[in-house]
Amino acid sequence: MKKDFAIILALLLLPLLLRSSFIVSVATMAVVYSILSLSWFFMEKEAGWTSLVHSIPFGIAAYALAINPVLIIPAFLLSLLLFTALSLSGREKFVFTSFITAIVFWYFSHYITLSVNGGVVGGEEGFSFLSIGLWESYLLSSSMLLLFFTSFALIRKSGLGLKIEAVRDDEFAARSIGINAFKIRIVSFAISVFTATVAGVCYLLYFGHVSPEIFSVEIVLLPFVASLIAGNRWASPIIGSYIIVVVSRAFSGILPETHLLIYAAVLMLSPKLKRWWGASAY
Amino acid sequence: MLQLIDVSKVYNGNVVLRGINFELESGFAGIYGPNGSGKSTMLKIIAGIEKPDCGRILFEGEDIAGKTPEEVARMGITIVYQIPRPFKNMSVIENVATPFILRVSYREAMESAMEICEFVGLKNKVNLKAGLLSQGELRLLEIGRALAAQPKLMLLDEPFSGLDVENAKRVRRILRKIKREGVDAIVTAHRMKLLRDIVDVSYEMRGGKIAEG
Amino acid sequence: MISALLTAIFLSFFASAVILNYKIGRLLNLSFASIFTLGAYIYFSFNPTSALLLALIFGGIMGAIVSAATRKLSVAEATIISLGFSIAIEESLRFLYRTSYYQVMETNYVELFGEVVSIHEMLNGAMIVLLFLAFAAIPLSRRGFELKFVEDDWELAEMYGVDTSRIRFLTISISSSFICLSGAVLAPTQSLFPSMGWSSMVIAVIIAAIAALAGNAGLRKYGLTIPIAIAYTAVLRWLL
Ligand SMILES: Nc1ncnc2c1ncn2[C@@H]1O[C@H](COP(=O)(O)OP(=O)(O)OP(=O)(O)O)[C@@H](O)[C@H]1O
Ligand SMILES: [Mg+2]
Repeated sequence: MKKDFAIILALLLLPLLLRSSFIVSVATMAVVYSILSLSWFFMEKEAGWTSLVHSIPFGIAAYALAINPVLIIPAFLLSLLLFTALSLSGREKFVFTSFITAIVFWYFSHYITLSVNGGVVGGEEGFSFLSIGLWESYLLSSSMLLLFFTSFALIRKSGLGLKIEAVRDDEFAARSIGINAFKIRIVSFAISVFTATVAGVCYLLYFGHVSPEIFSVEIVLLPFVASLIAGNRWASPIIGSYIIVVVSRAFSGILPETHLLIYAAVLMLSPKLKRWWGASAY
Repeated sequence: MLQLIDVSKVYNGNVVLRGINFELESGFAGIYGPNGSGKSTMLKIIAGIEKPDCGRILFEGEDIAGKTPEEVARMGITIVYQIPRPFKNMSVIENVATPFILRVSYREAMESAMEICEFVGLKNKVNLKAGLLSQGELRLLEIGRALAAQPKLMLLDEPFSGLDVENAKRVRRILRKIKREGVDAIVTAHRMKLLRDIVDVSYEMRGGKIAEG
Repeated sequence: MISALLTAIFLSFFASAVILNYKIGRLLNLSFASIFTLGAYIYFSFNPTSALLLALIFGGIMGAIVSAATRKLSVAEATIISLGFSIAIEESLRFLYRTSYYQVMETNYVELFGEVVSIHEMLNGAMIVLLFLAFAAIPLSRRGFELKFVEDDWELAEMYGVDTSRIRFLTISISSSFICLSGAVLAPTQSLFPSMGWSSMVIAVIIAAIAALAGNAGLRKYGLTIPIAIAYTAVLRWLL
């Protein structure tokens, strides 16, 4: 755990030392996706739900902020409600109910429009907002990442962490020692959704623009792939996000299909990778 | 404190419990009977894990037949499953600490859990993942976790199965100790011999019917 | 009206394949999305007759690979692997056909019951109905009994000595082959792009889910996909 913290701190400090705005811009993107992946990883590893719908809390937070900052709270609640509703089908089916929901939502996100002064904004174009600037974004998202990472470490060594893990391992056994499993499920979803919401806010504050792309399959799969390619530690989703961002930047000019092909390969090998990293032993 | 009135259970046309009437005022009750006679089903119904098709279950004067497992657990009834159900990705001590968490802080829970681990003989395995324990050790863990819930009534489903002589003795010792502390229990087994020296009253279960004897 | 009905039959066929794969293969076979697209691209690259044959063969091979790669895995793991295949096929198509993004095929029209219907659409309809019938015939065949057994209780069937892994392999391969063929058959009436299969896939999954909710017993859920698909297309026509 201490080692993970050290790795992350090193990753975050490196761009500050290099002081190149190109590197910082890549790093900011990686940090924003790291927060998203970390929120996903919490739900997968701590609470035991494999989600393919984290694009929704991430995306609608960005949309909400761009349209009207007051909407952030309903956006959070809506995502939480959606997660809870999807979870009613059970853990196994959650993987694909969440995936289908994410795809349907992506489709409909192209129709999110708003009429402003007689004109229509939104749709394919998305919405614009003001960016707070590169360095400010980097500092903001880095501190958020550190904050969540430490909070998760603390949660795991707390009563709440024990309850969440108990419900993850055996819901019935947990209930028969008096744990309200459903309540704990919602609390763990709330933690993950909140983190993804913050990631969405950081995203918008950095890019200053949000479009339906934020709901795309790539964003849906990013946390899954990121967490799988770099081991099964708490630093893994973060290292994985860095790898994905750097690789897709490197190939974006030459062979844009590469990074989705890598995604495909990771998905196809996912059970093998999981076993490889010894995921079963947690 | 516990009373079952005309409790019946049917699984897709197969009558498993036929109008069970049972009462436990205090102390230990033993239920023995052959495989498939409905012992586990009866305990699961009391614990709220299965719902009875008809009948009433009174615990301290309150009908608990419609309550959820967590509500029943909070009233002070804890079940030890016949087939252990540990939290297998958590360490032994965390497994035992989990019920304490509902009442005390994390630190205190871990301390109390350590005492219980010592008591049930898992002291040198506290940091092992529960999924890696042997069947016998899992049974000890289940009993430890149930004790950590500090129940008024414990439902022990075949606590001696799968244990070697040493650990069977240990479980016996544990049961005697909690009996002295005033905890009540219903214990099941295949043969009466296993229970004779710890229970106050024993019943025989056969084909879903229960009779004193 | 006629074209809506044909769409409904196609969707019902797609949804039935999804259910069959879920029940027998124990995965939500998301690779169907790209296997369907693959069929359409095959049609676009070869002459019609050989294209149909190639689609059947390629679809079957893809299904066989997916089936082999998802053996003995949990539903969630197998589903994720099939998604991986789907993306891999889609991106390979995007790569191979980089220059030709949107392809729209030409067609002739005839008037039927006062409605203009394209010739292709008519042919498609006939093919899809045939496919659907072939699909419906499986449970009635000699192997049908085993199939129903496996569908009903996978573990029990295995205990009774039914070769479940062979049935699973055949089910996934044959249904993939049919999906690929339907992609080829429908190609002339659709605009071609690498992710074209997804819309049918998602709708089919939703139809399958509703059908499975409404009735899980025996063949009923397959039959139910027809009215649900018709209702869906009707709602769509009414909306647009
Ligand atoms: N969920 C269920 N669905 C259908 N039948 C069940 C179910 N649970 C239990 N049964 C049946 O109920 C009967 C009683 O089961 P139960 O587990 O209570 O027996 P038991 O007395 O505990 O036996 P054992 O000594 O083997 O533990 C058995 O015949 C069993 O097959
Ligand atoms: Mg039993």
